[in-house]
Amino acid sequence: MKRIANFLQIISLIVTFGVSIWGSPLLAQNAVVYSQFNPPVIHLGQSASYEITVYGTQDVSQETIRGKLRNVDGLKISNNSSVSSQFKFIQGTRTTSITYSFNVQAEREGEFTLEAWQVNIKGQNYRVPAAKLHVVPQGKEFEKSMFLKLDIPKDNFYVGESIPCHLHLYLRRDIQARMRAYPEKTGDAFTQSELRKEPHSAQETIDGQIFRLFSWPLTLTALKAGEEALSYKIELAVILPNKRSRKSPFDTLFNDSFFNTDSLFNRGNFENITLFTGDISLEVLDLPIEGKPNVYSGAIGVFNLKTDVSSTTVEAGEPITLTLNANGEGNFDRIAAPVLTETENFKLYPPKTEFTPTDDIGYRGTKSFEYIIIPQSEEVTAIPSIAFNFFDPKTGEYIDLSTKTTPIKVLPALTQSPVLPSAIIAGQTEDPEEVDLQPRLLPIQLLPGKWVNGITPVFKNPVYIASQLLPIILISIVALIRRRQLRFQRDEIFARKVSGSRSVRKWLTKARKAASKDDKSAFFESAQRAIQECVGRHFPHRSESLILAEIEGYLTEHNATDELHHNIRQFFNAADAIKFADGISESEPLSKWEKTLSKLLNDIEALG
Amino acid sequence: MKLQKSMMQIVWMYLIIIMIWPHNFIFSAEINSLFNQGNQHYSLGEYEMAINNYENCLQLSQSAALHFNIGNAWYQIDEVGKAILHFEKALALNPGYPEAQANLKFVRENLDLALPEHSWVSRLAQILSLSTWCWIGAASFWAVIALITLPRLFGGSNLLTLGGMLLSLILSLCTVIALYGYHNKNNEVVILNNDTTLRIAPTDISPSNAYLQGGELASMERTHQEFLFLKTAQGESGWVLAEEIGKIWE
Repeated sequence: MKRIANFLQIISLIVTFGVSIWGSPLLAQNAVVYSQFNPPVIHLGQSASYEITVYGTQDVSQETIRGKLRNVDGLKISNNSSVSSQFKFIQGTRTTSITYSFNVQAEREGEFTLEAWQVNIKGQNYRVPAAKLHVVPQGKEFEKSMFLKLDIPKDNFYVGESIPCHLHLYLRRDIQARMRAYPEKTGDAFTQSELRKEPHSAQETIDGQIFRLFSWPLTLTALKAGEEALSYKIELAVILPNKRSRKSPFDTLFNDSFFNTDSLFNRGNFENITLFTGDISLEVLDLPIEGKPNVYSGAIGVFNLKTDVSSTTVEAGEPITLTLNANGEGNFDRIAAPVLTETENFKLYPPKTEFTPTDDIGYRGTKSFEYIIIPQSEEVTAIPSIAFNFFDPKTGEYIDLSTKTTPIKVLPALTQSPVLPSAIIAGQTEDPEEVDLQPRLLPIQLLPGKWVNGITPVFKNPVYIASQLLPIILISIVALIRRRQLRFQRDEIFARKVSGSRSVRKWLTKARKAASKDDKSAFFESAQRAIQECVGRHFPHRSESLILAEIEGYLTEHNATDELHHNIRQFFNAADAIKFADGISESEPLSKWEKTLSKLLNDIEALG
Repeated sequence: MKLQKSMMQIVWMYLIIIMIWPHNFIFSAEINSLFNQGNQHYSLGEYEMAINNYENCLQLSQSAALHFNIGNAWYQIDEVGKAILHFEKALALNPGYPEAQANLKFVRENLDLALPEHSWVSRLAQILSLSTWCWIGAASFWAVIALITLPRLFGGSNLLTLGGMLLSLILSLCTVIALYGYHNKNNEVVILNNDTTLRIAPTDISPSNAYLQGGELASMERTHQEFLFLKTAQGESGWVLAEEIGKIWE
């Protein structure tokens, strides 16, 4: 049967080689043949492939390769193969290669060697080199690139004892991995503390290779005595770097690290893998009976105890707070509240317990027990002792730390018993969480508050930018107005000119109104005042006191025309006639006088 | 002509009102309704529905309380990165928001995340919102200009104007410092998911430099295609995908 199987295997090889080479225009006259298992290390149950690669320098076609594949005890090599070809141009020459892959299954663990064998290519015999496959127990196949390790300081401990440990994950620096699940413990004889979400990370060099190290500190507590096994596993999604598996003669040209861009351009193989620590055998001992106190707290480790009393002089019925602080290292989560030895004449409430760790894993710290005790009568003279003890695993002995009685003075009750804090009354259980003192997420807001367009800064808002014009305008206006006011104060002629012009306009408007109503008296009075104001701007005294002679003097001084002299005289005479002679004989309409007045005022303006 | 002029004045007034006060009553009723629906879903424990309603509100407008409620809803479904992002956004809109400060502290402490250490510049900036600082800055700047130019025209400076100028200068200086503080915070981002890979190079296949926890704060320094270069408070730096972070000041 074995011979028939071998024969079939040879036939299959010939057919496969022949068909594939007939179908592909490659293979060389000077062929080079390589072989390997890929991957070279597998765990039992995993499959690998046996790869034969033929390199050539010239194209050939319809060649036949003949050879006899050797059988390996413990390995199942598939009859069917897959074929892949590759082309490369090296210095203008095309090189080709064909790879034949055969599926391989291992039947047992161990190291297997497929010995060298002969293959016939285009009539020439070539030697296929030997190849090795290493089959390891499950979880060990990656031990050179990644592994999980549990560091335990000792291999025997007592039931209930907590041991600080470290779970280490080592990943070679070129391995990119992502944790699919947190490390998981196997072994129900132990409990562990909660693992940190983020492990500590560091780097370590092992056998010249740099590993990234991720560590989870934890405590293990044994639950039952005996020889107990413990292991951990972790599930990872790993991108393994591509293996340059086929060593062609030309690869040496590219092995220079300068050309090595694999990490950037060759995407690795993504694989879900599980790493195991392997079984760790631990001896768990029962606590010794000898010397065990009647009331044992359950503490294992090394502890100190401190007590504190809130007051030593109280009224009967008044509460006293007694605080016990146990600090040190050990199994804090298993320490029961110490017990008061005598409770007669006392009203006692369950203690409020609080643990303050000083490390990540709760192995070191302080556990406090706060008792509210109320002496019921003035006969009480002391707070009774409190029993506390622990087992020291180093010495194997029980240590008693029970407190002494604390003398107190209890006065007769003069006042009504105080009401205890509600939190403590409610906390008639040892669990502090039920007291609900923990911070919580504050509830949602019922009103939306002020709506805004966005978190975009306001200085990008056009309204904000435009609003900056407002102070510029405001400051400018104030400055201009103030400057004008100051000029009025300092420059009298300017002030008179400005006020004069205003007065001229005022009297001219009055004159026009009077003309429209045909009120001669008002018209000539206004006309006279307009002329006085117009000329008066150039005089230091009040314009209404200007007489005709002064006006004519000014006009002469400024070379005014005779017509202007004449017109002004006419207006003054008419005004005087109306004022003093109660009328004028002038028959011309006032509209004509109005036009003359306007022209006259313009002419005076032109002089100045 | 007079009618035309009056019409133009009315149009201008309307435009100004629209610009200054964009939230008219109809809009306000719609967004408030969405907000209240979100609150109802939240109270029934339907947190995804609540988030949906709140996110619809965000499409229209936003408020510190809205971001606060979104943060709470994300926290309830264990999306702590997004929760922290929205608490930070609530504080960006209203730095003195005690509920947002309390919940942010609570979530960070629950996650064992390091509380961010703020420099004095940052602390000064966070006394007031960015908008308030901008208005204070503008007012104090123009007050300084006015107090330099105008007293000369009114008979010189006196103790009151000098005091006013000094106060305005101090306020202007504080504003500059606060704006610098906000400028530094402008690039702050929040990591949204746990185990976010901090890559050495801006490619998918790059090896990781470190892994970041959801809710961690980092500063964005530059971008390359869809990757952002971040620097964490712990001094780690590397590239992450844009979708893996949330920008506070977006």
